[in-house]
Amino acid sequence: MHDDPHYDWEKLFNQVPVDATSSVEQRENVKLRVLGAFKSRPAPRSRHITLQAIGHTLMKYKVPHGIAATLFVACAIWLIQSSSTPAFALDRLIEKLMQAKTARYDTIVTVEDHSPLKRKCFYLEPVHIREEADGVVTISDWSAHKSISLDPKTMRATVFSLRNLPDELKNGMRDGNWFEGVRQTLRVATKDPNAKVTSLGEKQFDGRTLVGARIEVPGMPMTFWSDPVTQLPVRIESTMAGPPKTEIVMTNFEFNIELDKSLFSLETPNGYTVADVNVDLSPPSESELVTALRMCTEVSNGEFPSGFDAFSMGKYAATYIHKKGLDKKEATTEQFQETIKIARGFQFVLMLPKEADAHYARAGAKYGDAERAVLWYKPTGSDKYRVIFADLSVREANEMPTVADAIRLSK
Amino acid sequence: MTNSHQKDRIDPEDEMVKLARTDRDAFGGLFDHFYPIIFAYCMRRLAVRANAEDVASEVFLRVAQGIRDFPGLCVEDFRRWLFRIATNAINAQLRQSIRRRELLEAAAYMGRINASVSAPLLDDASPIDWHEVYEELGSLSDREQSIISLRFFGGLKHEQIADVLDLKVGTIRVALSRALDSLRDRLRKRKVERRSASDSPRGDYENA
Repeated sequence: MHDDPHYDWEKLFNQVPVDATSSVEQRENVKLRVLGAFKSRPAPRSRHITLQAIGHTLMKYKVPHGIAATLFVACAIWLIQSSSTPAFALDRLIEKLMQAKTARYDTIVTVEDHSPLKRKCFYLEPVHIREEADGVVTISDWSAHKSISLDPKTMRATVFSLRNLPDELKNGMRDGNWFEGVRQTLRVATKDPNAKVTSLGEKQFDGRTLVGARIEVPGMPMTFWSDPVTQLPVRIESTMAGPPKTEIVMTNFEFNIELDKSLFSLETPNGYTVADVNVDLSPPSESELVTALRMCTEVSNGEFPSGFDAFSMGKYAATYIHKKGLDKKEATTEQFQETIKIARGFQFVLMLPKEADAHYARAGAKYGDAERAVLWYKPTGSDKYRVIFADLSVREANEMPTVADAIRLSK
Repeated sequence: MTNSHQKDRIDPEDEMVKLARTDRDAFGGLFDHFYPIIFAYCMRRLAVRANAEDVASEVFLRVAQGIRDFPGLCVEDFRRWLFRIATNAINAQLRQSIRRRELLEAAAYMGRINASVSAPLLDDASPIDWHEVYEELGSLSDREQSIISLRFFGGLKHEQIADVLDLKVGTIRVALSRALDSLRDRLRKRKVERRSASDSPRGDYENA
């Protein structure tokens, strides 16, 4: 009589005696809250902002300088690998910034409820960067695939060497620095059709008249103050809605000044104890992901990581360092390499293509359960899924597991 | 020809979903359209207005926080995402004993189901209470509850339920039939038990 075999049930449930209409007042209240959350949600972060946030994560966990630098470099590499180069489209103001061959500037980063972090920075084209903060100097030359961090107080030097670079990354490493990161953000902002540019007119800063423009990037407005005569940028302010709310001010720019090349030397000064850290940039493997998951569950009561993003990467690496007591010992190359393992394992997940149909089901999963699927994906060219279970065993399956709260990971 | 034409056509609702990732007004438009649907789903399943309001607002707050990373392209993707979040949130609520108790208390006030509706299902003309339906529904597995809820409280088709729960359509068909059979059996059993109980006072008295 009826096509639907469950017609009688439908009839029954249609008669549930509840008023299922929402009240207008309640709906409007919810809408206000929801739109508030929409407005203040974190915007996609540019690479340099992300790197700063990672830096703050590491600061929060009081990670020793050398190890923090290792993670910072590892995360920077991930960010470079996972981003694409946008089209070249700049307005006249930004061109000035783009054309700078050398630069000196200060950055002040203020994370909500934290004291400001100040850095003095130097840039020498094409990709030499020197950053000084609290006496620690970090010099990077991404074209040489090398970075060195010097701590004069402890007389320790950490030398990072990038290994096994894929061909496509050899050129991509050029923009892996803070200065270029700002330029990149401005390029993206000016290209974003949703970004609104508002003229702010003139304003006095320390007795100097500057002309301002505000670029409304959702969640991360950026104000750009420049000298009306030279049109060079003088002060760049950006605010990341967060949480946590983060304000970044770049100021005291000096462009095209004489900078001694020795400031950017990657040679280790005499008397320093050196820790060499090789950062492997070859494609990470599934077994490295398993290793990273093991390390994370070891330090979080058997729970699986809350995410595989750069922030989680920093958080779990920092937690691992603390719980394993690595921060209480003198930093060694082996300890650095241990922390990089988490970064590489996470990177494996982040690099999975859409076709991998990757899913992650951490809610309620605890390390040790051999029947609980936690993460699964299809390797390229395979019809079968590789399923990682909560005991970290890996099996193949013809069909994807059924886990209620699984979320899709693939890009 | 028609299919191709339909594929090329830009659906304004789909466009709104894409815009909603960055555009507040577009997101507000999606909220206006979907909030009543999700609220009604929560209300029918949870029966207590305050709890339904909590869950519905929780759903949209999560959506607001995650919309930028939402990978879907069309309004159907968005609907699926909403119902997935809502179903998980409802299940999480009902795992709390206090919420289950509140649901059953509310159901107790719903009274009896019209016999003309319940009789064909249970092959029995004697009436059953809504309280019994909700109680037995709650005794099914989370997955069975989810499928029944999505089908009858959410009004979704099998294909849509399959998308929400990331299962195959065939699996949903079979699971729904089995879940309803199970629910029917449990309700019938209750009727039998009720009948025995109504017969028992004399026996109890005699035993006493």
